Amino acid sequence: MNPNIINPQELAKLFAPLVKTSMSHFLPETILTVGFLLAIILDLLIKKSSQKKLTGYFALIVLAAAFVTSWMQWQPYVEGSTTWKGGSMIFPYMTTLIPQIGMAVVDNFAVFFKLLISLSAMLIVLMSMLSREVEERGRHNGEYFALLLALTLGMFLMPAATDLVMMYISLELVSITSYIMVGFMKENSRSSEASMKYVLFGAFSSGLMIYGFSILYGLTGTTSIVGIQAVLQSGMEAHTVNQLALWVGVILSLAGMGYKISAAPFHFWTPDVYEGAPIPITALLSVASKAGGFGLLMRFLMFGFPVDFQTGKLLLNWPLVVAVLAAVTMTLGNFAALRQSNIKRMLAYSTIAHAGYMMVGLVAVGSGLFMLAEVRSVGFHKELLPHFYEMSGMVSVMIYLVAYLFTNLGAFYVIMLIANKIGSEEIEDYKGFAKKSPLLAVSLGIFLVSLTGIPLTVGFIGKLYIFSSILTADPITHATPWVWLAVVMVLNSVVSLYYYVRVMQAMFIKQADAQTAPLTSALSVGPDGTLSYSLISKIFIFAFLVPTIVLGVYFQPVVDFTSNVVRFFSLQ
Amino acid sequence: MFDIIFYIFGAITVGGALVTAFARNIVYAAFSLLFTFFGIAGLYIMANADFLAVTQLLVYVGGILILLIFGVMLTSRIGTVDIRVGTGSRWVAGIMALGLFAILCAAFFGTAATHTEKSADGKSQVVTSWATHATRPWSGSKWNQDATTEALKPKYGAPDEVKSNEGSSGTSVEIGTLFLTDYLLPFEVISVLILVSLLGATMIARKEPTKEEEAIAESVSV
Repeated sequence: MNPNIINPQELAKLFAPLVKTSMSHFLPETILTVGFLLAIILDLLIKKSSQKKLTGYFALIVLAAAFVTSWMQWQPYVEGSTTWKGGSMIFPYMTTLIPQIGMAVVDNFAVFFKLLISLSAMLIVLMSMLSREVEERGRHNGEYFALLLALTLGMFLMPAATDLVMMYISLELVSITSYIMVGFMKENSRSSEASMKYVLFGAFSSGLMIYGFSILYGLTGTTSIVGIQAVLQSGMEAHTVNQLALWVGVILSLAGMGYKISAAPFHFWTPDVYEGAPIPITALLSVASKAGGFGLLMRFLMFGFPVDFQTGKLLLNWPLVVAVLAAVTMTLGNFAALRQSNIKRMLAYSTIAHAGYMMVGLVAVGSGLFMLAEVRSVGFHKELLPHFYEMSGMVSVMIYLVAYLFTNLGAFYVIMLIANKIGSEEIEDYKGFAKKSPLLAVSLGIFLVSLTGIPLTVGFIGKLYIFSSILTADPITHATPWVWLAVVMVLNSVVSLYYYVRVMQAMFIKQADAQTAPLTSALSVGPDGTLSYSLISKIFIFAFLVPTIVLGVYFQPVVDFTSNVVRFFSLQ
Repeated sequence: MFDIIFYIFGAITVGGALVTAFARNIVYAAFSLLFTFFGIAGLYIMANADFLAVTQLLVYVGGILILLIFGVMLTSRIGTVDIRVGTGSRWVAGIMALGLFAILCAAFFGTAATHTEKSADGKSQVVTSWATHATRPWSGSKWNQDATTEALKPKYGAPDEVKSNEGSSGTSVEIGTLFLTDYLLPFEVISVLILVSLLGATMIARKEPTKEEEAIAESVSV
């Protein structure tokens, strides 16, 4: 017998309390897991395909429960409070009993993403119930909603993970579920092709990522990112860090995360997948999956790489890499979107551009870290800290994600409603649509305006905060190193206006040609050529429209809410 | 002797991979992949990862590769298809691959040379082997292994600092313990992942019934 082997019963006694506390912080995810299993059973019990929608209502209840329990984990920050805790580590390393490192954390940052993701998942469930594409595959609706719950579970774990193993597995859970969901309409060759392409690109980039992770593990001897930071910190002080190997590891790791947020040069799958997938899934991938990816990326970059408190420099100058990638991503996305004739494809390129804008916020996160380091090196200036928090890129990315959630989901929802009736996603076929359904045309117009970032819409607020975070001068040196990036961003916004306006031009100004009128099914056209929609699908538009406009004017709640988030666990 | 065996396995792995990459015939490519997988299993054994080696053989050689070869053999006339595509960019790809190889070499050799750690008698020495680096991951960091050892000592006595598997019962016990302690959460999430994959596989691969068949199935079940 190996003397190292510990008596299992004693081990269990020692670890039981740790597991118990971890599980009590793990309630939303547990609800999702149980809900996923129950949804499968429910699917087996329901025989008639017309009744399979019941699983959808069940999924909605599960997601709402996950939303509420996540909300209960939220800890609003009270200035000067001594009892306030940033969060708690769940599933810590039990054999080493080091409380700081573990698989995941529950802090305001993770909870914010959980709220965002479960909210968008709920909206997607409702959207799916109104989707013709999903309805046509009625037999599989049970599996569809069950998989949606598993997907949400994966996305919940992504921003919470603090261990490379956990990061990889949560990412794979999201990826593999997405592959299946994208190929959901398997009679449709476009959908199958999209799924296949998604699998191939996904396998390749997650292979690169796991290779990068293995290099990071080899360099530091730990898979916990908090541990990695500690090892690198000591290595930085002793000047023993091999920068080249670290760079190789980090860049390879970025491949997997960049693929999830569809940043250049890992964006090739985006247009095909977005075009081929059922529209609700496209919307989910463009918002929730991207949010999860950003959460993961931010946690990885912020926690993994230390700041030298003496010089105020980061060990790795990752903001520079992210800045270059951001500039390339938005330029590429916007210019490719100009040439698209299919609106889903156009929005796919536009989401690539939006990923670029959010990466600008990520660059500001890096500058924020510089600032934090400088604040610490010159001594603790209390008046500087709020400045750091409120202007930090972190808040700006989060505000942007909230804005993007309502706007982009709304745009996809309207496109879905239009496709339900006219069976087309070509911008050509949108000609004269304003006459057919004024409500839909106007709301799509508002969503597109918000995506451009024009004032009085929430999209403007998102862009504004990203902008101010990147242009915030360093409080000590008064340098603004990222002016060029801000200029690139402004120019890109101008370019994006062109292709968003093109859709509006088709809808409002152009007349429908008599010959090329889209195939409208006879039932849906009213006597005066208008398209009729059910009341519920009309009301549901306002779920997206109202936040888009209201938060565009009265945005302080969002800012206050997200400002709580930046008080991190173990990074205060 | 150890080195010689290592190089033999390394040659098998790399040689197999080269044939897989450059073979014109897909059957050759599939079979040479067998050598790559086998060589990797050998390398795992040499790194004292016996469980991983067996898993490699079972899953990759026994499962995935056999499936692949069956797939190749059961597809008619696949043997005559030239699977190489895009010959124009071959030089570019080659140069890029060599460049990446050079960077990786530089990175890894750089790492081994700069890393120092303390030996058992307290003297610091330069560690040139990458394999020994992971044995004391926390050395020099804020949380050192000693504190952990102290915490565990009253319960179990001091655990060995270097977990060498020479002459032990293998790694499977330790892997099993870690699955249910440190890596409990990933272990459980993987089970969800596998269930999702099963569900998806049936959903994608199942033959779709026609409308009439579906109606009959419903009338029978009600």
